[in-house]
Amino acid sequence: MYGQILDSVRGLRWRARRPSRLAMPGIHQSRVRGTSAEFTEYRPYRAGDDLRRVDWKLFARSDRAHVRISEERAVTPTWIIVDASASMNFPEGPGSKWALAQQLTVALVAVAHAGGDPAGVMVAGHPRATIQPRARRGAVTEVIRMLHDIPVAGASPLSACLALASRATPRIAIVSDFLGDLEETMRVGREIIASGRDVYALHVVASEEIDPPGSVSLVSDPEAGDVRRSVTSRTRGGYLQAYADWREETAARWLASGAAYRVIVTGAEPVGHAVRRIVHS
Amino acid sequence: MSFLAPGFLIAAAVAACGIVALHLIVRRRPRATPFPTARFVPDEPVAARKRAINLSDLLLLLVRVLAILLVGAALARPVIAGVRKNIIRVFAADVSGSVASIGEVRDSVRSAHKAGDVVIAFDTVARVVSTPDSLVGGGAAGNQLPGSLSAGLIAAMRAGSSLRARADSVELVIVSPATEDEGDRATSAIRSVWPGRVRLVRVAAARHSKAQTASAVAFAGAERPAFAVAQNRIDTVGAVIAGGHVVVAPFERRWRFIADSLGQARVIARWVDGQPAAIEKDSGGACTKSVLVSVDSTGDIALRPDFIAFRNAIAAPCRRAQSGADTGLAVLLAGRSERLASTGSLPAAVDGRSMVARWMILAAIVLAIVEMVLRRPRVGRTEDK
Repeated sequence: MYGQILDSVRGLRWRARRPSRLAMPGIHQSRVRGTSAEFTEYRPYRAGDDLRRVDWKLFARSDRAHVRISEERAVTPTWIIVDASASMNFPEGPGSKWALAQQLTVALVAVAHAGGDPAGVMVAGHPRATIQPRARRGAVTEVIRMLHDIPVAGASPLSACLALASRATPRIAIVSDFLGDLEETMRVGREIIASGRDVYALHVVASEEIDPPGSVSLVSDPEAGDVRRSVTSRTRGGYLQAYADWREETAARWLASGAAYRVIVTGAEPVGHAVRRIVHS
Repeated sequence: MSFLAPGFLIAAAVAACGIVALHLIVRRRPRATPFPTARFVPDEPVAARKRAINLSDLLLLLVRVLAILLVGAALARPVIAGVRKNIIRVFAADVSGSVASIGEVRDSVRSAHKAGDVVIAFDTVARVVSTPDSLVGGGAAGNQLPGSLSAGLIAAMRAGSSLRARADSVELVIVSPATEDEGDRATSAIRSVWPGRVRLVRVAAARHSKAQTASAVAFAGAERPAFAVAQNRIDTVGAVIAGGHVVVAPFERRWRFIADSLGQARVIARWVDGQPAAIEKDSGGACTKSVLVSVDSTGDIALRPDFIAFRNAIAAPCRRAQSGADTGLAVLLAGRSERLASTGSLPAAVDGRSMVARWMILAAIVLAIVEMVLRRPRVGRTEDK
């Protein structure tokens, strides 16, 4: 299954949405002007400049000292936070939101890894299910193996993981249905974005949530057992409207905070297409 | 099988129908489906009435209905007897020495006997025989002593109690010459216990004129007397009766007469439950009396007037056999009641009917346990109902 997905994302590059402050060599544009071979401009020599950066040939021709300015390329370590709460296990089976989240995570790790960026995965609610960002070979296989063994149950707060992952990582992707602690997650996300980092809010939605099947009569929230509602012809319209409004509001708030927001619906498109939309945002 | 109180059975059938109806028409909440976005559904009451025929629970339904029907059937007092008759006769046939011809007794019984009737032969003791023909050639046929109507009445009482399940009424027919020496002071009391009329068929009496006198009285003591054997289980009897004298005291009954000795003897005293307590037997020109009543020497019972009268009655000369002249005994036996004795008015005896009811109750309890076992996983499976 993952072979087909990895084939579909081969060649993709996940560019940073803004120049990185890190000076580690990589593919992303860096704010640091350095001495790499990619020339940008000349600048008159000032006291204290490194003499090795002086263009001596130009000095010989013009009798004025200039130093060469070039752009640096940096790597972008990436954290992908995956929601493994009970609400992700819907609908049960291979078409669940959790299955889609697994595939998205593996594909994004593969894309980041192909660009030389260290990529790590953190599963919300499972402190031991964490793979630190690394660029070595076998990282994708390691992620696949870890996600396969994760039990999808309970309620997992995303905000704690987000705060933990934001310490020294310029890019964070959240793969979730955002039915948990959305407010706190958004608050932490805004702080991360304000500090100059990229946040990708990848909203996983089940097609059955958008259009519930007619056989559903009484429903309960898997993360809040006391929430039981009856889906009838009278309440169905209200549900569709309320859920659409919530999705729209969630999207607007993420976008307003500066995050890259994408909605991925189960069964609506191949995973490769979804990843392509994400990395090109 | 028939039922004495079929109303309970009908009530159980109605209850079973109710259970079936409740099983098919249920009010339940449909099973909740996990739905992550349930919070966006407008909150409305979720109870729903659902009509369903749940074939998977047929076993449970069957167990419940069976349990209810069994309880109802048990309360309805089932009777496993054959066809219940209106009247069953109990013949108390006198085969003692008071009767001139046993064949006459047999013919009298045979003329009125029908299938299902009970025949009791009595002389000094009573026993149930299978047919009227068994009256002739029995062990007491050569007995020259007068019979004991008290023994015959007590045996008839027991037979009537065992007929409760087979008939509505019991007619007691006594075939006897009813001579004066066949009755005793207990006869009247025993007769009064019989709740209906008694038909007396008089047969010719034998003639005896020889008077006898007591020559010896043997009382049983701590050692086993020659004329008795030890009881299988020593019990206590509340009273003993002889010649109209009743002594009420807790007598310890350790011995009983040898069966052979009863065949040639006449009962002159009985325990209150009808068993012989003293007999007299011909011994040449005199007679010998054997008494099983033993008195504790440490008590004062031997000084009580009633016991002294009892003792005098035992020690009195042997009775004189009398001719078959009409006496007041026939009137006494006929009684004043014109109605037949109802089996319901006779003392109850343990019979098959009550046992069937007990087994039904036991089966219902077992089914109730099975129902709980069947229902338990069902509750766990549908916790939202």
